[in-house]
Amino acid sequence: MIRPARVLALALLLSACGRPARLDWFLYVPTRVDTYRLDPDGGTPETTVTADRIEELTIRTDDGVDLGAAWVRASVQPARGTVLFFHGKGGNLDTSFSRLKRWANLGYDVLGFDYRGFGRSSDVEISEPGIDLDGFAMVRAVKARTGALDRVFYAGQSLGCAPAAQRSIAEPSAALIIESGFASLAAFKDDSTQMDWPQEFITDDRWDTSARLRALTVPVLILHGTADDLIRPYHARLNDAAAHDPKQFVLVEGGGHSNLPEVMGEGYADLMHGFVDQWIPPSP
Amino acid sequence: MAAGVAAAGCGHATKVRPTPAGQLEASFEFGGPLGQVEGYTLPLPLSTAGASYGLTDRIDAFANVHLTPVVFGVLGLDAGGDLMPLLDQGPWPALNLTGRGYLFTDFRAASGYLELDATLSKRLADRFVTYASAQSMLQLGGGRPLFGLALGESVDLDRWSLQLEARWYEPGYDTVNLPTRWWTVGGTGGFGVMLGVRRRFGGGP
Repeated sequence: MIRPARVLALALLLSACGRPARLDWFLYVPTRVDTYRLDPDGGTPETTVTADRIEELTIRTDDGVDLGAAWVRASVQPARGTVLFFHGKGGNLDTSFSRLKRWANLGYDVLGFDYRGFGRSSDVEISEPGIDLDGFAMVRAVKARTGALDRVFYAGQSLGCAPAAQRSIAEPSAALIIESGFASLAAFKDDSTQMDWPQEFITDDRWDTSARLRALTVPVLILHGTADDLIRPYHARLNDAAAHDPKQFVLVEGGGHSNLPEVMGEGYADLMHGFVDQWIPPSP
Repeated sequence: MAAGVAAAGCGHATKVRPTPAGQLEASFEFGGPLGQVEGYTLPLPLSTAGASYGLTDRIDAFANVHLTPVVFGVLGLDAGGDLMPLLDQGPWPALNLTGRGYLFTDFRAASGYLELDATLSKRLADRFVTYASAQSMLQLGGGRPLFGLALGESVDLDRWSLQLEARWYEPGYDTVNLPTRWWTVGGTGGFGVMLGVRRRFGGGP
């Protein structure tokens, strides 16, 4: 016999005492490795570099977490600028390495890295505050090489747009590139479920890129595929509405979540050069 | 995001008719919108347990606890009642109106909803009740109103009844290219299934 009073008591007990399931397993899907491959050959001229242009790094954060990272030298020296790249929610530095090489072949020095818990970075809990510390350490590493941020820009892809915007608030670079990013976890939840329950029910992280864009004054490029089947263009429009001028909003017809460079072809290089070179002074 | 719906989703099958006067009815309901998880299309495992009591033959009151949200540390409760203004007579179906209020909380934040359902049902061959229902839900946190349609069958087996229904959640809402691959109806809304088991106590047969 079902006794509603007992069921209610059990629910109250579990709610109060148990550590509830969270949605972090959806937000962060790291792939752990002991060593990186950092393969110079990407199968296309745009994603292939010589091995001597790749430098593997380990960078320590202020809370003692070691992060795996790679510096890829630009195809031209002096470089047209430096990009700090923030990858998406899944994989690791190896799975996003073709992006670093592509940036390097566009003429920019690149620093890419794994967040805590990803790749061969320290295997610790992943969270928004933790990734903030990771970004801080990476900016410090970039500045150790460039001296300042006036010829540096941040680029994020997918989830990486959120920490890139987060870092732009604290330490603004010359420009920010948001590629296939979501507006916020709350917007993600609203779009997916149409329900207005509090986001805190499932995660304490907020990743509110739109709010950060509202507070930002650095130039922003927002790039999104119309056929993105993970983060709909709705999010790009929210980000565009939040961002201040100067900004550029580009919807890529037929572009998916992770293939905008391939779908755009030469147009991707033209777009990046056109945007970045407006805001980064020529090399001295 | 499917987990998000599970954290605060509403796992109810339609309340087709009020519980008869003087009877207590216990219920367990399970199911939800069909989403693709790891390549498999499964209903979200929303579940509720509750009880209703017949105040008259046309009016009852009920309360339920939502079991699945507990996994996420969220307590979900709902309470409400049924009113049957039109009886099942001759060729005409019965009309049942169900109103309920929901509260979900993790003891840090809370959300509330008000729901109103209208259900037409027709008893066939004594044991079978075929029904169609329309649901509307007002979100007190400021979200837009939600709608749903359902079609189902209830089978009475002495004091037990079993219920199976198909639901179309949010017809008209574009659900293509969402992170959860809902099973859509023509690219809109989400199709789902609900199962209900009820057991009556007390009163007459």
